[in-house]
Amino acid sequence: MTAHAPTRPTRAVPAQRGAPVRRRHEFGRRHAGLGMRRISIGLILLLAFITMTGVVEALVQAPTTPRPMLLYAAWGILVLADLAVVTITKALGEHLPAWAFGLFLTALGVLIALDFAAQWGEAGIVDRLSAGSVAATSIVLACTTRRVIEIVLASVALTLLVAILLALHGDFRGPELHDEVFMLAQVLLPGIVGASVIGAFRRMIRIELERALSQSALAAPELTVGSLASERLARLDLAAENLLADVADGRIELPLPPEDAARAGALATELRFNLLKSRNQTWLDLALEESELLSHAVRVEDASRAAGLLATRQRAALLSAIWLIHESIAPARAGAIVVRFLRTRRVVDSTLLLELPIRLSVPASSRTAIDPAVWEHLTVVGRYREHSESERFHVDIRCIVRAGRTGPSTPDRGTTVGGPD
Amino acid sequence: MNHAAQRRDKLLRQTARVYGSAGMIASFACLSTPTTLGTVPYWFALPLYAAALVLILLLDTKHATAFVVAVTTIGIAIAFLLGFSFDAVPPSGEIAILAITSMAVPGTALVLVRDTSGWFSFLGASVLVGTVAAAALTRGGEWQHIALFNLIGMIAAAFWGGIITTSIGPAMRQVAEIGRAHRIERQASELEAQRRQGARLLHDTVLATLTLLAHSGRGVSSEALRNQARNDAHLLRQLRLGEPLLALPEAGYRPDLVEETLLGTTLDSVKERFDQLGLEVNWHGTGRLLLPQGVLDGFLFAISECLENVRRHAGVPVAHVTISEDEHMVRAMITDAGVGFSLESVESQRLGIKDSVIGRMAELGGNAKFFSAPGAGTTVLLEVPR
Repeated sequence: MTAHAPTRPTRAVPAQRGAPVRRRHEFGRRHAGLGMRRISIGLILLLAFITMTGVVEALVQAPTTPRPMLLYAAWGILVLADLAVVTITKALGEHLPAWAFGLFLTALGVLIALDFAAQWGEAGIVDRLSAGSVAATSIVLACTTRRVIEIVLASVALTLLVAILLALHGDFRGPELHDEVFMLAQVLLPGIVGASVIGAFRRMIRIELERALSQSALAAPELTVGSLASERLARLDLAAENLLADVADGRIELPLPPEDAARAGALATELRFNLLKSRNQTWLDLALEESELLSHAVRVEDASRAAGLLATRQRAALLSAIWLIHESIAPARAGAIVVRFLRTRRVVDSTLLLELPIRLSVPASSRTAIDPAVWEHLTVVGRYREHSESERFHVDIRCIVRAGRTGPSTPDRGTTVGGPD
Repeated sequence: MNHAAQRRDKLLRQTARVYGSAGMIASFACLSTPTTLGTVPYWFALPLYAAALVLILLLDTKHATAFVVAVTTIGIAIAFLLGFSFDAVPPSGEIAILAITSMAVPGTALVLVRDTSGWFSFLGASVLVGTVAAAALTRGGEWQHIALFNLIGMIAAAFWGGIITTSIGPAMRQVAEIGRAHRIERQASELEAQRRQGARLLHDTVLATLTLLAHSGRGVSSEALRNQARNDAHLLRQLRLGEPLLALPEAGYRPDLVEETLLGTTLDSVKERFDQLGLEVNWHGTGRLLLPQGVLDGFLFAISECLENVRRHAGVPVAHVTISEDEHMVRAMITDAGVGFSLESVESQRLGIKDSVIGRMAELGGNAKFFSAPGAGTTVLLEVPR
């Protein structure tokens, strides 16, 4: 690595702004499919069952079908399309590319049309459709890999297609309308139900994952540098090492060319800045940093970095309470939940203990909006009192903590702290 | 109840709400077609549908059984109402009942499938409503077709229950596993960060060298600067490779592991370094000073920063450092007879000597005071508690 590379002189190392966000997104992508493998197997079995009932129905209908070849073609396309989607999804590791999804939908549309064509002209055509109704259920195969909105839109599109074909066939009138309505419900609902159930499952996994990650911060010392600050320091050290080695080995002339001098100056400034400023994060900052949901919804006001004084048990309970509050009110606005650490006070008759008042402020009008389990957790944090005030609900917690910043109060390493069961 | 079970119950509840209400709405849509729309039984069925829908949307896990019983009862009531109000059940009524028996009731009953007895309740509710509906619709006639239809609906619903209950446990275990791995990783990176942060003396000398380089290394012999750069690069490399910072080429850079250390040799190394850079440093006062290692490092760093400042800005080749101590404090006074500066102007300077010295002293629980005026030299007083 040469130091003469014409880098911009004012920046010591490549910018890493937005790194936490990117890191979180990568993490989210990597684990988005968590639990989906099992679900997809269940869905394949469900679809196999539904297909079986459809095949029986088709066999019953076949002798009276005007154009049985079209019916068989529809079934052939259905089975091939389903198999193709399953194969692609499994081959790519629970992933279905957009083009494959598009192709799948097209195939479903085509086979629904073929099913109609096979029975075209028959009275009560709705009752005779077999491949068409199974085709709509096939959408569930894509539920584990595509977004909820895509599945819903696809279901709506297929329903519209069926509705249009029924209208063209002249079935939307007269006393048999209920059959058409039921048919449309059968086409629409599997996708809707599937998408919403899997969507709920995904949301839950995401919350659990972020929760587990944020809990990893509980064991942090009273004040910590955070993994990002540590990475930054490591990068600065490396850049300094390279520059110094280049000077030592004569790859850079002395006196230094201006751009190298500027680089050394920028490095020194950043290094100094990092050494001075970096050890000022508490476990709560780290916990929020780990979670996209929490970092968006929760604002911490802790000028004196008092959060670090809390014992591990209190930290775990406070974090659980924050998660539960977040879940029960699902705040949309950024920083809607405020955690404010106030000034510590001496506890009378004790030189070892301090009282740390914390105020939780929640955008809810009363305590009924909040999951009752929150109170169990808050009891562990400290004695609390609640009161509400114009659209916001406050909980004042008085925590008793050990006094003094006598070195990092590192809890035992290796103990598991409040991980999900 | 453990966390995974709570999650499973919540998911079952959400599924039951979607599945059950979808069935009810589909049923009502079928009923609202010409053959039954506006008939007397239709109007009677209306409040029953509304009640069922409200119950399904209010489902909660604690009273799940009561909710399912209520929805099943309403389903049976609708089946009876439609089944026995007409001479022959109109096809729209029939299909509306089938939507309830094959979808709405089994879907709602999914909230129960938390355990084996829950599965039996699910089965019971679905079979009961299916049987009653078949009886009401056919009045003893051809019931097989309807039973088959209900059976298929029930099995489809059961699939969803099975998918949720079997997937949640492994997924939660996987999450816990990822959390555990992440915690270990975080602890490792915390230790690494502490190690890097802990290597303050090393960083202090690196900073001094970088600062010299930032001024293009002017006023310093090339050889001295190259040597210093080599030493620092070597130390940084050792830090990066995780080697213990013990066998260092220069004694003065060694972060001693002994709790307390002799000040004299360390002061000498500082003096030596500045001598090489062209600043004569005169020590006064005590030559032996016992301070905890971390405090000593910081104290020396602050002194070095002040001396570097003298070397660069004061315009004189000599600086004096006076060290004194009493039972509470250790003090260092760095004086020069140089150009001095206005304290106001330094306030607005970028992160420089003031921040680094004051910040570092504050970290040690001490403080730093600057006394200077243009033309009157500079004195810096550093204090740390013992």
